[in-house]
Amino acid sequence: MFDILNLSKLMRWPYILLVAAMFLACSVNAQTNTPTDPQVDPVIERPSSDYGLFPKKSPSHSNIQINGNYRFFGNYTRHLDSYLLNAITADSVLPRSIFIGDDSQLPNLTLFVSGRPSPRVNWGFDLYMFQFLDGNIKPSYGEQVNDSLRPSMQSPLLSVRLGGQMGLLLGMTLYGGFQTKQGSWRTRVGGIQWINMSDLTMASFRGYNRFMLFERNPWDPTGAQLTDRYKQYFQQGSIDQDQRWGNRAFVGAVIEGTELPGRMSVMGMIGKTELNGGFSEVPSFTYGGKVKKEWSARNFVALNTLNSLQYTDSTAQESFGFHIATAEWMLERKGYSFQGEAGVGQYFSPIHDGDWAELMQGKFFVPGNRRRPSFELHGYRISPKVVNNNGVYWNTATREYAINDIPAGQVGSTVLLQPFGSTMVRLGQMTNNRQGLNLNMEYALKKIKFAGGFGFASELTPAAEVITVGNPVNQWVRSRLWRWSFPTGVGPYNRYSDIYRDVYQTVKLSDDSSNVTVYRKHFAMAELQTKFATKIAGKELYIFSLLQAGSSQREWSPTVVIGEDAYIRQYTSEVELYYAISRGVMINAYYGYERTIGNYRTDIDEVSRRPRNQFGEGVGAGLDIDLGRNARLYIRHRWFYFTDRSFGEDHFRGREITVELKAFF
Amino acid sequence: MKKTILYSLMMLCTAGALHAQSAPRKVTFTGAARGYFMGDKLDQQTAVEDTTTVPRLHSGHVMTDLGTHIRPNNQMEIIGMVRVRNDYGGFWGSGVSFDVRQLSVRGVVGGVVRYQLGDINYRMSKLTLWNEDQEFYNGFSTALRQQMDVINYDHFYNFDNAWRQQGGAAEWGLVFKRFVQELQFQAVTTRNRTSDFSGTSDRLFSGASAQLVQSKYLSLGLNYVNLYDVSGTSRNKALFHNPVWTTTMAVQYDKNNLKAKADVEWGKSKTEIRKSTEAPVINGNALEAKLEVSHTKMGWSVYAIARKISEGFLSPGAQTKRINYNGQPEAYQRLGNEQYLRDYSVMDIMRESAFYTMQLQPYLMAFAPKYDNITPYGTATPNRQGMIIGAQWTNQKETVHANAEQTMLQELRGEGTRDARQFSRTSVQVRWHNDKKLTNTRDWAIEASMRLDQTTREGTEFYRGVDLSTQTAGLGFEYEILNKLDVLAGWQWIEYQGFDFVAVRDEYAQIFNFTEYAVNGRESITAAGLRYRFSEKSFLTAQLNWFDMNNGVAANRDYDVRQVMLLYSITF
Repeated sequence: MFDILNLSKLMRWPYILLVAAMFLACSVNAQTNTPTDPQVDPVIERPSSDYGLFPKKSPSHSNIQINGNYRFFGNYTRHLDSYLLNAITADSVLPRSIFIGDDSQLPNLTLFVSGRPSPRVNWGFDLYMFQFLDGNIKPSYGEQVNDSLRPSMQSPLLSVRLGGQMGLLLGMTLYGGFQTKQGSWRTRVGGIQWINMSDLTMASFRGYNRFMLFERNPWDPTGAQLTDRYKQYFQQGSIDQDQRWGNRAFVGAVIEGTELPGRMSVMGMIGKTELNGGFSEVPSFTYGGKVKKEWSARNFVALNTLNSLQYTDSTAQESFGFHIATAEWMLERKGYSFQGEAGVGQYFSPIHDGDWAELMQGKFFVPGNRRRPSFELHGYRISPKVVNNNGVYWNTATREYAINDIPAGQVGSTVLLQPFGSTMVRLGQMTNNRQGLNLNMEYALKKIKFAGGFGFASELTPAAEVITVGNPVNQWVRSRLWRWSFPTGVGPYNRYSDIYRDVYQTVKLSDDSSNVTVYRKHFAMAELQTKFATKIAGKELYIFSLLQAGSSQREWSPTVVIGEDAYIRQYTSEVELYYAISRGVMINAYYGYERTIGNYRTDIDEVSRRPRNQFGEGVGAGLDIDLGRNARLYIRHRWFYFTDRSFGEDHFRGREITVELKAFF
Repeated sequence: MKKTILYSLMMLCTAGALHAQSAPRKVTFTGAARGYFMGDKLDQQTAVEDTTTVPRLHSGHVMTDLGTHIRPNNQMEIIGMVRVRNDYGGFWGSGVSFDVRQLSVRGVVGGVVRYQLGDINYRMSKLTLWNEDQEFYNGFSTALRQQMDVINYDHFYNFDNAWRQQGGAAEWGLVFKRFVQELQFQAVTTRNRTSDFSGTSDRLFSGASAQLVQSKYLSLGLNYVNLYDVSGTSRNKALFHNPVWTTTMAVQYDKNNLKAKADVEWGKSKTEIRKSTEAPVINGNALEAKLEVSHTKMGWSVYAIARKISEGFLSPGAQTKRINYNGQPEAYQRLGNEQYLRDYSVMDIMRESAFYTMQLQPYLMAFAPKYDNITPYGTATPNRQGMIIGAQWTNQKETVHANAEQTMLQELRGEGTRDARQFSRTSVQVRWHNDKKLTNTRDWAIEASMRLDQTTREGTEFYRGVDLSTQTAGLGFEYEILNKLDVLAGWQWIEYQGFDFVAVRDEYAQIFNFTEYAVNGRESITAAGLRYRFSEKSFLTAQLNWFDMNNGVAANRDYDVRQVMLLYSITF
């Protein structure tokens, strides 16, 4: 039927009609079809038509919020002696160094951008900007594109163009919440999210809040008043911390249900921890969850599980990872509480047998009063076969599976975390392959507070012929010796390893037999913290001190071994002072002293024929200056000194000044 | 790029500052955020176990499209959208990408002419510029359509069937007191590609249209589009030109509850490469007329469509497909120990972004006869003539929608023979849902669809006959088990078998050969999951999908993929 239609002829009459109509139309009074109603926005609202630009109506618009912080951090270091950093590259410290920025690679400006499209939905991400003030003045900061990625002039778009000084730090997270008759539900998708499930599954070490405040962390808040940080530390025993404090980074999906029937709550998660990080599509993920039953705020039982799975090969046939399942409880009555967690764990890989083994900890707390200090007894036992670097305990015993043998920190390395060896840890810090007992106490008077304790631990099996130990005094000065990477086996005698904001040294033992470790190591540690607050001339004064002692030895001892029986013994004493000379200025001072001593079963210097005999000292002074609401200037000057009288090359001294300007908005 | 980010940040900072004040807002925001994670497990039914292909894949991302609307004055709006994306697996800033998603300015000149420059969404008529839905989109149930919606959002495939283009457009209109109600004019020019200063010229797409609305009873329209190379922008003297003219007419008549409506569009096209001695000049014409009668009270309507699209009718704006079937899937691109290239499947159509395109193509794109051999290029599919009849019904509460359609088409001109292929399609779709606002009960919905396609052509002793059939069926189910928490389920089944010849075209879209096309396969997707609706624009869904591919032609090519999918979608 259509073949008989002559379309060319057929098409003529509408044209004629249309042109005639237009002519007719123009002969009469015409107006534009732009809305005359002042309530109608002519830019956004378009006349109804099937043709032209779409959409005809714009979607409703939202508002977003921006907050964040600015942090300038400058650091000038003067080294008076040469100090070998890396024997392989013959690199040593420079006499003077100026560095703008933070060793911990945290940015100058962080913006948190968020939106709340509806009451129960919100989203957010952060943007950061680095600024190193390195004098390389260009139209924009930093190296915009690596040389190898630079495009040809003819095709400038075919390249990577994201500036090297910008990015997302904590990523992007979408939040949602909803209420049902069965409870409140909340979900988070993306990340980085900060998760704390339980000590033995997913959390980071909080310790007993015994630390020095003289040197600030990049994420430390400023407080509403200049003295708030120190007042809070004195009165409450802790300070406000960033959201990451005590938590672990996680990217993925989390759903939480609270206020469920029977005072139950649940949490489920699937995604990646830092151990699973990477962009390969071959699965590498962590999943877990928690079911909790409460009777009151401080009486509950919970079941926790955390599991990690990675594949060793490109075809995802062989896997490695771990499984942890624990039961957790807290029972509290009249201030007395018993908190614990116990369960089983398994580490499996093509070279590990994957046996299940035990892990447990318990804390019994006795409240104090004006006449009696409070006590906490903490006991734990974690098998060497349990490996979970997401928990608060370190892996000191099991060498984890790695797809290749490239050392950590080098290009291509698949090693994320390696065991520290038998490490000397802070009071309360747990490791696997260890069982121990810690007793802590706190006692408060009006102007003075005491907190301290002692503990001991023993390895379950002889695990390594090395002991690792850190140096608390001048800890951050040390970490700034090696910037941007975390090398192992560096420094004089190749015995130092740099980790995030810390350095530890490895002590080799000589009492093994044919490279087989035959002795279990035992550890003892003690801490005493004193806090004092008063007013002088009507101005606030705070003095904090911290004494630490620790030892590692072949025989079990309930107290720190102070003689030659200890492989390594370490004593540290630090004291700091903060005085508000006005509402806007605080002066502060610091002194720290440490001794680390080895016995003759540890490394012996070839020249002196003696084991470690280390002295460390730090003297500091500084100012906290109020720059207005939510803005502070922190200046710190430190004289540092370290020497090993047996190992002559392990010696450095100098001074360092840091300037931090921080503002929250 | 860096400047873009800095500008964006400046916008954000400005926005924050402005928000703190109570003055009229000059900066507002739109956009979307999404968290999307997939875990796949492949299982191949092969005689010899495949030890080469990785069977498990995980991928995902979280992203935010932050669109900043800036009003420098009452007559102008600048829209800049930045996409910030964080790929699954990145920590501390790794795996983050920033990019510009769209940038445009729009406004009104002199209170008369509306304009938009930059990224624009534009639509005209079905024969000139129309972005047809991809295969299966309309037949898929809600559960299966969620991943396709992600692709559609990313590619600016909106429900209005507009094409995302880069260029400028202007609109103006006149309203009258007598004889004629309104006269509308639209004009657009977009850039289809740029010159390489050597053998490739700049290519533009321009269009203009005028609609005369005499009254609600009569509208007339005139449309012109042209995809063309710009002379002198390269060393290449040959210039592609493809103008298309169409005229439209809409007539409507109401009486009591009866409503009759006729829509007609007819036009012609000319495709040539000027200054080329080899390229042919291809002329074509097209007509589509639709008559629809509906009863507004009873909710039914019947319609008939007459269509005649000549074999030479080429209209890039109307015939460009969303799916590029020459693409390769990113997931499981190669299978088996011999690592053969995996053919596309409906699973890829559902979720593979790499298969989709946004650029208008000058000639006909490849298509998948097994999925749609009848209207692969939508309404403007060339070399088709015939009738389509259909009926629709919606109940008074608008809770039941049903439509049935019968397509009877044939080729205008046989391909490789004088005999024309005959095409037949029967399709039925039903959606029955409960309106919570009316019944004060739970939301629920049931969807069902069915489609039977048949292509036939008699054979002779010299060539084989054509007999290709495709059957699809789909079911969907939604039920609100708790307030705003829905159970979703979906099932889609596609079976195809038969034989056809596929035309092999030269660079000028001229058929010079045929390849044999034999298929015998079955694909199915089953999905089940939960969805929580935080608001009308935000939901979280978790699904399990089972995709099953049976290839009856080639041995050892059967496989199935189990997918876990989590999608959190926010629009603001």
